Amino acid sequence: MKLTCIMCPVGCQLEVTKQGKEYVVTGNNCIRGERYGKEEVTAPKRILTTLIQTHKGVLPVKTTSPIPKEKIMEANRLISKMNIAEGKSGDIVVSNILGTGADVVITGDYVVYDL
Amino acid sequence: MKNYDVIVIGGGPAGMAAALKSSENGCKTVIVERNPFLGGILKQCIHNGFGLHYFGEEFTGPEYAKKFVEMIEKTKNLTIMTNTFVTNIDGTNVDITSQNGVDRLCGKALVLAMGCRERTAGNILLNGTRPAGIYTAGEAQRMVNILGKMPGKEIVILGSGDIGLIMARRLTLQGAKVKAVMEINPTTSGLRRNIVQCLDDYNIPLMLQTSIFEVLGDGRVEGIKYGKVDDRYNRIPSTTKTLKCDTIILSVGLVPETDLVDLPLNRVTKSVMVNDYLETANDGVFACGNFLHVHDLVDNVSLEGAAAGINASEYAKGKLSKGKVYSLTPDGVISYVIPNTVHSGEGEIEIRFRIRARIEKSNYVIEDESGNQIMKKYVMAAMPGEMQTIKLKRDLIKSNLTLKVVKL
Amino acid sequence: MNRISKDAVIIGAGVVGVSIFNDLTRSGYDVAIIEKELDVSTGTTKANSGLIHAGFDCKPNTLKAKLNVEGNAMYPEICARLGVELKRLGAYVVGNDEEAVNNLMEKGKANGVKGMKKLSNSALHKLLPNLTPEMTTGLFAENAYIIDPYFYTICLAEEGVINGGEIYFDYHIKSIKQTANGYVISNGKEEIITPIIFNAAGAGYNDVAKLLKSELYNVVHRRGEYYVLDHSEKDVVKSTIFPLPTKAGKGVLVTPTVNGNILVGPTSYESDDTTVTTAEGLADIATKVKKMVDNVNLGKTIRVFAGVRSIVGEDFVIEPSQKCKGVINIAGICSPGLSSAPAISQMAIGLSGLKYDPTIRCNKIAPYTNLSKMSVAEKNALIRRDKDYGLIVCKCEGITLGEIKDAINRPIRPRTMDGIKRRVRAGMGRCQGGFCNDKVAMIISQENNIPLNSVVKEKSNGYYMLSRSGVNEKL
Repeated sequence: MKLTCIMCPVGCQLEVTKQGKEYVVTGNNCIRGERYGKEEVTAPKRILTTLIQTHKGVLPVKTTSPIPKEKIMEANRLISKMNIAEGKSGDIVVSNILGTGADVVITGDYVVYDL
Repeated sequence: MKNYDVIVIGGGPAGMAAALKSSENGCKTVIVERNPFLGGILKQCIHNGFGLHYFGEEFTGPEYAKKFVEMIEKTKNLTIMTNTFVTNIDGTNVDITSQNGVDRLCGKALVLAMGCRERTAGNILLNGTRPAGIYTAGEAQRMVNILGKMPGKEIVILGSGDIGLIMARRLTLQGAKVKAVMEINPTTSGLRRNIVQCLDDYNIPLMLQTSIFEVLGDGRVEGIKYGKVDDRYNRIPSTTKTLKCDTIILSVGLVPETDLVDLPLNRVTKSVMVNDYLETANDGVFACGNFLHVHDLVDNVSLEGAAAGINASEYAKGKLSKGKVYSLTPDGVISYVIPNTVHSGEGEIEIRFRIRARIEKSNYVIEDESGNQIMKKYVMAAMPGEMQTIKLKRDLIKSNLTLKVVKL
Repeated sequence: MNRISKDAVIIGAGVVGVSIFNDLTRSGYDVAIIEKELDVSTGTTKANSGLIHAGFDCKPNTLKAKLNVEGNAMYPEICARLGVELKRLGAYVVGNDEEAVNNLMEKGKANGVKGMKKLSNSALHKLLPNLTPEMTTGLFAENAYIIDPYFYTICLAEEGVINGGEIYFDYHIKSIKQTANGYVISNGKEEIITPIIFNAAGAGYNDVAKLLKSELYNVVHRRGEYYVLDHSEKDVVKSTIFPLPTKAGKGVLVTPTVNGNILVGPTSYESDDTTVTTAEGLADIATKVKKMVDNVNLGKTIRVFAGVRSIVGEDFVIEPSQKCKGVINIAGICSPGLSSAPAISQMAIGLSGLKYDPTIRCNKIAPYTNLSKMSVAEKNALIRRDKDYGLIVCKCEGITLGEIKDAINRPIRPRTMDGIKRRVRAGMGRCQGGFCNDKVAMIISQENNIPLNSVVKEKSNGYYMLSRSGVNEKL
């Protein structure tokens, strides 16, 4: 599997191959590249940021920690379907989303233009 | 008429940091902000990746803004004027319009932190029709993240700037189909992690050296003709293809909001020029943030804003003493450098600059007039999308200086 | 089906149709305009050079020559009545062909144009220091004006409405039936009965003529592309500067606009009825303008656009239909159509047998609120009365919430974002609405009590935003 390392500006072109049970990273210039390459291949994780609908408008939310990449779309669908009364920054709207251990928390407050 | 020690125009990340430092330094400070809230564009940047450098913790845009707003609320000596527009700048004074009327604020020092605007379809001479469905990335971002609406369903993004990349992911998560991100240059202008996390993660095609040749559609965008361009941006007509879409999002660069400023502008940054105290050619007028030059990270914007705030408040107190002035000129692959002039004396200067092309295994070198290296810093690799920073001690400055890259 | 009866119906709400509408309503007639778009002034009228020509380059003894000079003389009074800005900057024609200049001077004389002056090389360069050295000869005509063509047309239409006229927008004609005493126009929902029809449909003239079974003309469309430059460039020229005219038209000119921008263009390409801009066209303008003046910085472009003008032979066509009694054909109104519009209207009314007598209904429109023209004291008084005048929505042009709301609550209520832009310039500045489009859409939605996702930019299918689930509501 070919990857671009994003740990630093060098942007090493990594190649990760499986040799037996172990993953081997080549093309990296440092240990951080090796770590990134292995994690991207075995268990890539991302923080999901999206919106939640409330009766008073949308609010931004995020997962409190990175969740497995393959669960991003499902988690996003789940949050997108919700419609809560209202919320404020810091409110947890989903606990332990999809069993990932991450909560979904509101990250901002309503923005109102005085028109 | 109202009097202040320091007036800060703009309540985004640069202006908030500047005002905070100025008031903490004991100066009666005011932020003039045109939006009904502080935070600027951060409020619509709901993605994460902010704050690692400034706070040592990763935040989303609204969270990062809130951190500052909370500090500002605890600060004495700091007035916030929202829904207030500066209509004229006169030295360190400004004329404002708000729902309270037209007024003049008089300051001992002024900080310009007005940020940028986005380049438009007109600026890039986008060809074809001019229907609804063409948005700048920031406009679309506000529509989605703040208004909770959608610009369209089938989207083409022109330009691979960071906001464009972020919007590609955002719109995908909101249910739109992002058909392509097109970049006229052979390399992207956005951060690499955004290419990976916003495009690659969602299988959104990135088309390099590609541009929109013609917008199709009468009332609403119905598609585009697009194709390849050569190294000099000339279209290659034989590569023309048609793509159906209802939305075009432009992420084709930012222009500092210098309209109110009557000062000579730098050709590259398209903004004012400053000395190592971030002071412009007008005494007591300081500049920072994306108004001064387009930054890569908001953390760097806040750091620069904080520096401008400290310097402006020192100036307002009559305490900003400066040594002898020399020029600092970028050379070769370095496209611009901030500051444009430097002073001898005490302390350390933060020098920020960008490079035109990817470099690796090189030294950033500062030379004096006679070609002697007075300072160097090794760089393993760097990309044009990433702002570069080096530090320089003022006691080393004894003549005009040049900043260059020396390949090892 | 709803049936309405009118003394006359005008098809097309461009400057010609609206001029007739205005003159007839003031003359006491019960008239209507039917317009396929959602606002007045959305075709040729919105996309041209915005000039009231002096009339020296029209071929003598043509309708163009006669109506241009007549129309030109009528503008100051009409604009004063409407409160529309008309600036008499004069116009230069420059080049290096002395004979061509003499020829223009002769034509001007034949057409009855006053205030023309031939200029020597040195006089020319003294007056226009930015002219290139290749420009060695020229003339100046003092009776040339700049105007905001769509704003003028909007005000003219508003005056017609407060004098009893009606405008049917979004009216798509399905059929026009001739009856014993006139015509029945139908869109399938509303029928309008009238003895007199003015076909002022502009680029759509033949489409309407086909429905009427009146005369079809060989209409050729010519597309003209333009650059609009930022306010920062407003001083690069102080008057309109034309090159010597060619067969294709008046050539690429540079002119200030009444709103403090610079306009550079147009090209003149034979084309379909489309308003596309092209790389070739824009490059062509850039080359041509550089030959004439050396200080125009196209890097300061904030917008490019194109307009279409319809051409029928060498002259305007303004004549009663021989096939359809009571129908007045108005076709081929290319340049100088805007300049001639007031005179075209009077001529067309004369041909229809109706009587022009503007003393019958004399209601005047209220002037638009324009804070940029006010003193600080006036602004403060206004903001004290209503704080909406203190909230700037369009930061580039400095347009307040109060001004936008006022523009919506007028005799013609604009429903589109471009309609707001043409009335009060919100979104017309250097950021091209990047910061205010959404706010303008919200204001339109609130003032008209319609859903936000039903607000359109210009055309009825040109929705600006969808709901979160990707839906737009069509009104």
